[in-house]
Amino acid sequence: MKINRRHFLALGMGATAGTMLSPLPWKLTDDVSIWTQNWSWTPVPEIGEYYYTGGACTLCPGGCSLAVRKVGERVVKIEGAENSPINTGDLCGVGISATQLLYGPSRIEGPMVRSGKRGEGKWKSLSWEDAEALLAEKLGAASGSGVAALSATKTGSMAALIQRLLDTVGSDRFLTLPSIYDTMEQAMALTMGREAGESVGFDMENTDLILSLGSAVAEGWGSPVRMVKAAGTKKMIQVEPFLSTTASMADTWVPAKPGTEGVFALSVAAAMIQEKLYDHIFVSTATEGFEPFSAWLLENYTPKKAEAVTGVSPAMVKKVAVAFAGARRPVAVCGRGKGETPVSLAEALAVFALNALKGSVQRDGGLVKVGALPYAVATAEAEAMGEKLAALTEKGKTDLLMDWGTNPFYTLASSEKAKEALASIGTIVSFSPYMDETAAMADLILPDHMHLEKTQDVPVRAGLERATVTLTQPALAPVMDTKHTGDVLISVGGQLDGGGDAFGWDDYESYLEESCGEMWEALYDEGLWQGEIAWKKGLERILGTSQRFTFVIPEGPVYTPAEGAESSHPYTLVPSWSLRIASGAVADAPFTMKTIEDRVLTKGLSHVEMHPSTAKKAGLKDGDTATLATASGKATVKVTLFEGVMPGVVAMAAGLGHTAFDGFIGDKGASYTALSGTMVDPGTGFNCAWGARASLTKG
Amino acid sequence: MSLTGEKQTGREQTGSPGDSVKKGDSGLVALFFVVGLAASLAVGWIVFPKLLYSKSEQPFDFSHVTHADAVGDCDSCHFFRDDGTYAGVPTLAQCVECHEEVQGESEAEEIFVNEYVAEEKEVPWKVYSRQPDCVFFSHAAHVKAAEMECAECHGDIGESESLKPYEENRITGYSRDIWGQNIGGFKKNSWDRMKMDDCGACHKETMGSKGACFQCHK
Repeated sequence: MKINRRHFLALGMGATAGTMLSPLPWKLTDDVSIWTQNWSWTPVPEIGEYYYTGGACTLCPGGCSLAVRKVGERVVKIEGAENSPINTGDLCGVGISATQLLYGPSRIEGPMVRSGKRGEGKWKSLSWEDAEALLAEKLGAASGSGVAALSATKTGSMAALIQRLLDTVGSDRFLTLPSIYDTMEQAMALTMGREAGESVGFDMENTDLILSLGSAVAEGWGSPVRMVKAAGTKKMIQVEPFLSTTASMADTWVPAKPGTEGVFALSVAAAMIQEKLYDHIFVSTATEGFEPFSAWLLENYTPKKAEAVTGVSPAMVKKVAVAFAGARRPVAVCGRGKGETPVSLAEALAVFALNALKGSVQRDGGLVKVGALPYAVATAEAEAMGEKLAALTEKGKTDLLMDWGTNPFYTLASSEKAKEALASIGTIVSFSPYMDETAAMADLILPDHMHLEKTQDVPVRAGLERATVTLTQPALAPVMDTKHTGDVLISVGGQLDGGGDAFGWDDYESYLEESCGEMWEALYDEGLWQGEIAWKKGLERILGTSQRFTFVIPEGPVYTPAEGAESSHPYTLVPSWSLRIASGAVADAPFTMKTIEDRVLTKGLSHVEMHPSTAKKAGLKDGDTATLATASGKATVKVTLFEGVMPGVVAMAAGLGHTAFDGFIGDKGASYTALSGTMVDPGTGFNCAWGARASLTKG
Repeated sequence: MSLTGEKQTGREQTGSPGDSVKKGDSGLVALFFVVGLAASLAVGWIVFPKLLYSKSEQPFDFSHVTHADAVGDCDSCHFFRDDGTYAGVPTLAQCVECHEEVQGESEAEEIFVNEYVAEEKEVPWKVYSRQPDCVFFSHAAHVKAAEMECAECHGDIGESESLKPYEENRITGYSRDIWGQNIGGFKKNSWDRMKMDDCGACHKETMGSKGACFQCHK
C-alpha cells in the first residue's frame, strides 16, 4: 500500500474538522481583531487619581484662567477655571488644545544655534551657559540703535525687563504688535484724557445692546468666553461685509462695504443728531466740542452721503440709529475681527463719538477707562510705535532683533517685501518655545517655557471693565530643556557693560514678586488681580467729572480705500475669523486643525468664500482651484460659493498658511496676512490694513 | 476482455481493479483522518492556549487573606475616592501607612520594603482584570447603585494567600482572565470570564437589556 494523495487529503480533512471543533480559529479571530485596534502610538493617560492645578492662558490676549487636570505628572486636560470672573469655568477650543502644544511636535528641545543657511533648518545644540554668553556677546557687539526687541505684551514684568535690556545696550526700539487697544488708547487720550498706563474697556456685563463695527464678537474679539456669552445674551447689531457666526447671532446684520465701518458709525451718529435721538443732557453738561463736530458730521456724513461709501441705505442707517438710541445702555465697539489689527484713529474717534452721543461713556454698560496696572517696576510708554515697527520692515535698519512671543515672520510679514526686509536682519534671536516661522529663521534660539510650565504675570488687554492681571502657573516640570526668558534676560543683562546693577536680581521669580508690587499677594494666592472699577470710584466720580468727553473731529481719513486698481484687481479680499483658528503668533495645535470646516480648508488649500455673482463674474464655479493675487503676494485657493458674502468681496480665513510649527498645520492654506499689505494710518502710524484689492484667475 | 480481444490476466479473476487497494486503503485513509482530527483537536485545545499565553510572576507575592484579616474588607484598600472615582489597586502611599518598615517575617514583604518603599517606587502590579482602553467601566454604578459584591466579578481573590501568576495573551496584550481560563470560553462562575458578552448577559438578566454601545464605549 502506498501512501498517496488521498491519505493526505484525509489527514487534511481531519485536521480541518478538528480545528473547526477547537477554539483556535474563533479565538484567533477575536484576538487578531483586538490586535488591529491596539495602536501603540495612541497616547493613553495613566490610570490614577485626577487632580487640578491652576494657571493662565497666554495664547490670545483674552486673559482666561485655567484649571489644569493631571494624572500623576501628566497633564491630561485643560479646562477653564471655575472661579475666574473672566471666563467663569469655560475656555475656547484653542486654549483647551494647549496640551498638544505642551507635548507636541512643534516644541524646541533646548537652546540651539543655526548651523546651516538661514531657514535651512540645521541646528546645533548648545548649553544654556553658552547660549546666554553668545547672546550677551552679540548684544555687546551690535550698535545700540541697531538692536530691536519685539515683546508679546506692552506692560508687565517681562516687557519691563526687555526694555531694561534695550536701555542697557542704548536702544529705544522696544516694539509690540499693535492692536485695537493701542488705537483706542490714543482716541481716549484725545477725548477723555488719559494718564500713563490707562487703557480702554467696555462694561459688557451691563450693556443692553452691542453695536459692533466689524468686531468678531463671537469669534475672538476681546475676551472670548466673556464676549461669546454677551453675543448670546445681549441685543446685537453686527456691521461687516460677511455673514460670520457673530452676524448670524446678531439681531440685525448690516453688510457695509469692507473698511467702511467707521463711515457707517459716523452716518449713524449723523442720523441720531438729525432725528434728535441723542442724549441731550449728557451732551450739553458733560461734553465739549459738540457744535463743530455735529456741523462737520452733518456736512460730510449724512446717511445719504455715506451711502456712496458704505453701500448701506439711509433707511437702514436710520433703523440702526433708532435701535442704538432706543437702548438704555448701548455700547459701540470697534476693532475688526479679533482686534489684532488696529483701526485708523479716525475710525476709533467715530466709534467713541457714537458712544458719547448716548452718554455711554464712563458708566455702566459703556465705554470705560481702565486704570493703569500698578506695577512697581513699570514699563515706559512706547512712543511712535508705528514708525518703529515700520523701521523693522525696512532693509538695513536692524542689526539684531529679539522676538519674545510675537512671531514677526508670520504676524508682520504682510507682503513679500516685508518678509525680505525681516530676513535681511543681521542677527535674529528667538525665545519661542515652538518652532514658529521666526524661530525657523533665527540664528539663535533660547526657548522659553510654554505657558503651562512657568510662573509669569499676564497683563490682560481685552476690553475688560477693570484692570486685570492673571498669573501663569507651572502645571508640571518643563518637558524640554527650556528656560524662563526672564531668567535668561537677567543672566544676559548682567553680563553686559553696565548691566551688573540693572539686573541685580537672583532670578526671575524674585524680580517678578518685586515688579508686581501690591498685586503680588492676590496674584500668588488666587492667580488673579483686579483693580477697582475706575468709573465708580474716586473724587472724579463724586464731583461728577469722571464722565467728561470731548468730541474731536478726526484729522485723517475715516475710510482708507485698499490699494490697487479696480481694473487689475476687481475684488476685495477680507479676512474671516474663527475661534477655532488661532490667528496670532502661535498656530493651532494639531487636533484643533480637525475642527476646521470643509468650506475653509481642504487638502491643504485655503478656501475663498464669495457670492455666486462674484464667482460668475470671475468665471469660477464652486470647487474650482484659482489663484488669488493681491499687490503683496499670491496664493492658490479653492472657491466656495456662499450667499453671505457681499458681491465683489472675497473672504478667506485668517490664521492659516503657516510654514513652520509642525506637519499638522505647516504648509496648509494661505496666509491672509501675507496678502494683506500695508495701510498706514496717519493718525497713529500703525498699519491698519483691513483687506486688499485682489484678482482671481482660474487654475 | 480487452477491446482487442486479447486475454487479460489477474484482474478478471480477482474482481474489480481497485478492490483490494480500496479495502486496506480505506482503513488507512480513515486512520489519517482520525490522526488529523486528533492532532488538530489537541493543538486547538491544548497546545494553542499554551503558546498563546505568556506567564509571568507579580513583582512580589502578596497575601490578600493576611491583609483582609488585619485591615478589613475589600474596601479598606480598594475604595471610592471623594469624587466618586474608584481607586483600584492601592498606591504606595496607602501601603506605606503600615509598611514604612518591615512588619512581619515574609520574604515578600522584605522585597517590598527594600526595593519599593525605600526607593519610593510604585509597584508595577499586573492587573488581572484590566479591560481595554475602549471600555468605560464605572465601579460606582455597579458597587454603589447595583450593590454588587466584589466577588461577583473578581472571584474570591480576597481569600487567596498568594497572587497567581499573571498570564497574558501574546496577541492582544490583555490578561487571560478576560477571555477566561477555559480556552473554549466556557464558564462556571460569573467571575470566570469578563468579555463584552458576559457583561451583556448579566445586564440582560438584571436590567432587561444588554445596554447601548455608547454606555460603555464612549
